[in-house]
Amino acid sequence: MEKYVQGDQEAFRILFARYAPVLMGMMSRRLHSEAEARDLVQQTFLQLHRARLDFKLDCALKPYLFTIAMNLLRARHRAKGRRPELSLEPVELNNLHDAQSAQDRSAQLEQLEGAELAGRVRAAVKTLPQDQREVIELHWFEDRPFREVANVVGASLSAVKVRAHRGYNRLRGLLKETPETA
Amino acid sequence: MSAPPDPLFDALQAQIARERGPSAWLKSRPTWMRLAFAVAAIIGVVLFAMLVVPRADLSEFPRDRMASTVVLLLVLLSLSLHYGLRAMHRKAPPGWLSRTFAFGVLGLLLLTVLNPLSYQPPTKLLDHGFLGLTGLRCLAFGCALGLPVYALMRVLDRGAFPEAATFAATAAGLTGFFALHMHCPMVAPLHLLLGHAAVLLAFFAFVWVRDRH
Repeated sequence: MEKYVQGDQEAFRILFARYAPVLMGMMSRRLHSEAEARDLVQQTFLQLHRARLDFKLDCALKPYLFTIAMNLLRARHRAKGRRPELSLEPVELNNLHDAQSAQDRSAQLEQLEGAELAGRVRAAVKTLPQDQREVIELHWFEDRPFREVANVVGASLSAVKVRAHRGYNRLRGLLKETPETA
Repeated sequence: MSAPPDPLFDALQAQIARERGPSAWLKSRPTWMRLAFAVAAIIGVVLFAMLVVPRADLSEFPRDRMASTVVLLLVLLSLSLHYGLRAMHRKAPPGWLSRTFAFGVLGLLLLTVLNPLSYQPPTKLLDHGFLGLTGLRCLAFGCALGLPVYALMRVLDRGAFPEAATFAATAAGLTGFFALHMHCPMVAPLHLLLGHAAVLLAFFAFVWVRDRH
């Protein structure tokens, strides 16, 4: 980042190569549209370019970049008038019909049960207040440490931990309830 | 071996290459510098109004009221700039804040304007003319004074927060009001409502119409 701030364009390409795939994954899970995800990733790096002189060289770039991305994502959802969603479906449910062997069907069924669980978790996460939902999405689904989550969401470390604690407790309570049958 | 082409990166580079000129330079300044430019513009506008045509009743106008009004305007302007030029790596303010803040500022200006005077001004300063229409001249002057601040804040904005335009309008309206307060000696409430406080409404209306199109 220091080299890029000093004008090294190749450094910008390296940063892009390093972080764009991670951002694409994050955006794709929340937007369900490849085109929108690509647009927001492009906007994130454009904002990074515009704000390069705001970056403190002794700070980590990843939380800086992810805060920009989250702000753009929130703005996009506000403009569309809906809450951000997170896709947790790990498998193509349609493929279940094409399973040939019992082993395949068993594996597919396990994946389907996982998909059902993923659906329940997704529905439960959606019911959380926004501040708890954001922390859990970043900490659990994006596997980010709490310190980084605090930087991204703009809260103190202790506040983030409290939100996570409350969010996880609420999720546990929701997921312990009997699941609805399809 | 060179890296394989990446269409997304190429599109990004093309977008960055299109950003040139004074506008791009201003957007890419550090946030403290962008704030400094906006503050300088506001001070310049207010000083212009004070020095070119200073308020004729400055020696008679109650000092405590002048001080409290100036302090209030400075606080509101600071908040407008703080949110309007906020750096992208800080958590964005919630969407409702821009409208709530704008209406709050308008409410405070109305209270300021309608607050009864603690002294008896000359009669001519209470003459708001037919239906307060003499205030329209002040409205036009106030909007003209606020416009450079609005334009500068839109140029300084990096385009990440859609609500930035509302904060820019608030800052421009406050600047126009501030400049009029240091220039115009009229204290008739109707004149102050239609000619001074309405500057803020004019900028809000402009942003509202622009957003709808």
